[in-house]
Amino acid sequence: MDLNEAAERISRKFQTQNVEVDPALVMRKLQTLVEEFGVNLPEAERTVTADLGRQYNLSLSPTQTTTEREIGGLVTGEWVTIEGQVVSITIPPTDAIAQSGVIADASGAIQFTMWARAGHEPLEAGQWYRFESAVVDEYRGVPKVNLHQGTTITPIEDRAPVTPAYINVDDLRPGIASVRVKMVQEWENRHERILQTGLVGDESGRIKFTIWKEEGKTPLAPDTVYAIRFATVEEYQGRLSITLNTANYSVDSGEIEVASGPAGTLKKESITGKVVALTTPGSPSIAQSGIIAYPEGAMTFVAWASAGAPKMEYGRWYRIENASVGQFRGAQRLSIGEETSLTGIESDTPIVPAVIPVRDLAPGVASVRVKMVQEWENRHERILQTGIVGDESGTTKFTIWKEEGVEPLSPNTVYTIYYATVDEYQGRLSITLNGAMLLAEEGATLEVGTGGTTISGAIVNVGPGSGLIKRCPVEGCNRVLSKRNYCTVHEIQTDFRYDLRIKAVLDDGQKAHNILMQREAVEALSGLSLDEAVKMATESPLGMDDVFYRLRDGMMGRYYACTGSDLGDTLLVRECRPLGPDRERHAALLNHLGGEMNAS
Amino acid sequence: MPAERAITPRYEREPARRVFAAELREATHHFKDGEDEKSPTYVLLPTGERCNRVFFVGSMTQKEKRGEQNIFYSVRVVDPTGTFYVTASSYQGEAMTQVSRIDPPAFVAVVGKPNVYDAPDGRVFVSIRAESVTVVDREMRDCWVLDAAEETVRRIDALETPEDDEEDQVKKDDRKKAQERYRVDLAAYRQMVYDALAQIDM
Repeated sequence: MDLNEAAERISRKFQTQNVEVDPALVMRKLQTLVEEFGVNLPEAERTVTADLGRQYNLSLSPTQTTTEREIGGLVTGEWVTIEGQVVSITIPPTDAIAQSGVIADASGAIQFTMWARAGHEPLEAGQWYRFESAVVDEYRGVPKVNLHQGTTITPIEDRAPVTPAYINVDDLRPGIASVRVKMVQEWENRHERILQTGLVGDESGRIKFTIWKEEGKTPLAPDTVYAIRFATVEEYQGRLSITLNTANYSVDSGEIEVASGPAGTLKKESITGKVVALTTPGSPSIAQSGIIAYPEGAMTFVAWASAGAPKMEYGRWYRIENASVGQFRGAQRLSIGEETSLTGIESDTPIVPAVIPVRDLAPGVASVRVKMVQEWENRHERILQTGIVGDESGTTKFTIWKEEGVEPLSPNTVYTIYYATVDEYQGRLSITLNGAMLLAEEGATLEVGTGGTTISGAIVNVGPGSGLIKRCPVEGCNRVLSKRNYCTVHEIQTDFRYDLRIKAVLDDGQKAHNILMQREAVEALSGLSLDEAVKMATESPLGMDDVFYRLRDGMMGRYYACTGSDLGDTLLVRECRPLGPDRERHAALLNHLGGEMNAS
Repeated sequence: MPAERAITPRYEREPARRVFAAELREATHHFKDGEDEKSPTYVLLPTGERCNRVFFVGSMTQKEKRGEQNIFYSVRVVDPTGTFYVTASSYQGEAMTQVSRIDPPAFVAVVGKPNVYDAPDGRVFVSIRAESVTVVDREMRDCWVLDAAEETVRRIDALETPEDDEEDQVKKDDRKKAQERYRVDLAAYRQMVYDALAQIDM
């Protein structure tokens, strides 16, 4: 689908209503939306059609016909009457849906959704029905029939069962289809609700399949040919896959030579390193977890139980080939899966972990030299100790989980900590010491700096009392005056002084942080000086509100990193830095997802 | 032992979740936390997080003034994965004023509350009641796509490998509830995030 086609379709649509639209104008509107504003083409087409429709006062909504139709020819947006056989019933994805499944006739098959609110009797598998006034819509590009309150459903007796028409894999399109295919590849199961996922194919191509766990569903056997009737074909951002939960399938005779399609080349990494920590795996699907160090650094690893890899030993060197590196809680993590090969080796390569300042911590594995400065009350029975450690550059939270052989830190003692795991949670970093090597330095001293707290996020609220304000001039008072120059303690004050400040909410998606910016920070960020703000307020008919709106409109919905002192429930901002899109994060995310998707 | 949080708990503002339109569209489960009339209502995201407020940046493609006595704006904002349906009514006077001044197409940053409602025929829709709508630029849109991608991946990863013992029970329960209520194909969600990222030029 390209711009020209869409433009042509729009022009044709208006022609059928006897309206000539300027093709160049249509094209320009589409182009602006798609190229300048990153709008996807279907949405752009819809927008331009609706805009022009309004302009010419035309109603372009789909026509409501209730004539009897063949299932194979249904179009989204129609009201229809159909007759069909219920060929499958599936477990509905949400409570709002009473029943879902597939209805077929000789011309084709379509999914149906029977909404709970509609109050219909449940349909029976194998039975034919007449459905009057059903609505056709689409969900993720797959057409569906909605059986709602206004739909009349009548069973029909004595009809022969529908025989499915098998089609080639490369002819599949979103909807319901039947195929004869061979199972060619099974993928590692990454979700407990999936029974099986992998690739099936025929002479024309290959396609990803999924079977969700559900009563009566069995996995496909490798290298076996199946007749799959009434599977759901979905398209997601240009890629097709089939789900067998709507289907019934059976082993079929005959052999199939499967086309060598794009079989998903795996992006894998190899690494040679030493196991410097073994930690308690957090889930039964993980056989072993820990930290592996190599001359350039260290990272956490997991060996999946399904991989059946040999147990690694603490302190030993290994050559790990074909492992995937993914992102876990903001840090890189090595995944040892089925295809990974693991060989114990001898090595005397020295590994000297670099000790870094606390300020430079980033998610991953790191070594620091710190003093334990604060112990917090324990709020979780599995935690042995939690509190704050720090060095000259700043402080960070630490946690030690209860585990055999671990001991708490002693207050005011300096430790060199090798291979701590650094996590990011709610925009703040913390270190976990389980698995780390701790060396206490008796009698050592260390000056712990405060460094300040930095929070990054988007401004989602600029509160009242922001902008230009008036303060009470009475010495030592400094309270903010009301609009009528009233101080709660010193009453009306005409000789007030102006000030600039912003009370806002900086939100990182996990937590909404209150921030308070004083005059210097506001001026630096907005480029508006106090004098200019006063001038603006005196000249504008909106008065001080004008300053508020200008500051608000300039800050709302934008990303910043704010540094200052944490007053408990408010961050008193010293400096605020606007953030732009981060190329490195973009690349890292793409890599992470690319790796994971290929591995799945 | 110094107490970590000796301060009495006070009103805590709900965080604004970063969620792509395609995921929000699939949210159907909503609930109230508590009996009180003022108790917050939440939408449960398919990736397992409760959400009472959202923040997103996208392209406003259309706005329509509707209603006779109670005027409101109905706005479409698209991100790389789909469309957010946004309303701004006189109950959120500021947002309505802001919207009235914006001419689509424009990049906008929206803060608002998601609402799940059931149509009379039983279908379920999600729309967002805007608290604030501000015009921003393409850079901020890209920033948000990254942010939403990261948050979505974090939720997907947590669903897949729940091993964060430090987390409170509420988060764990929400994830469990989402797994019961929704049938999420995590691979498809990953693909969604990947494609959203691939659509922005850095």
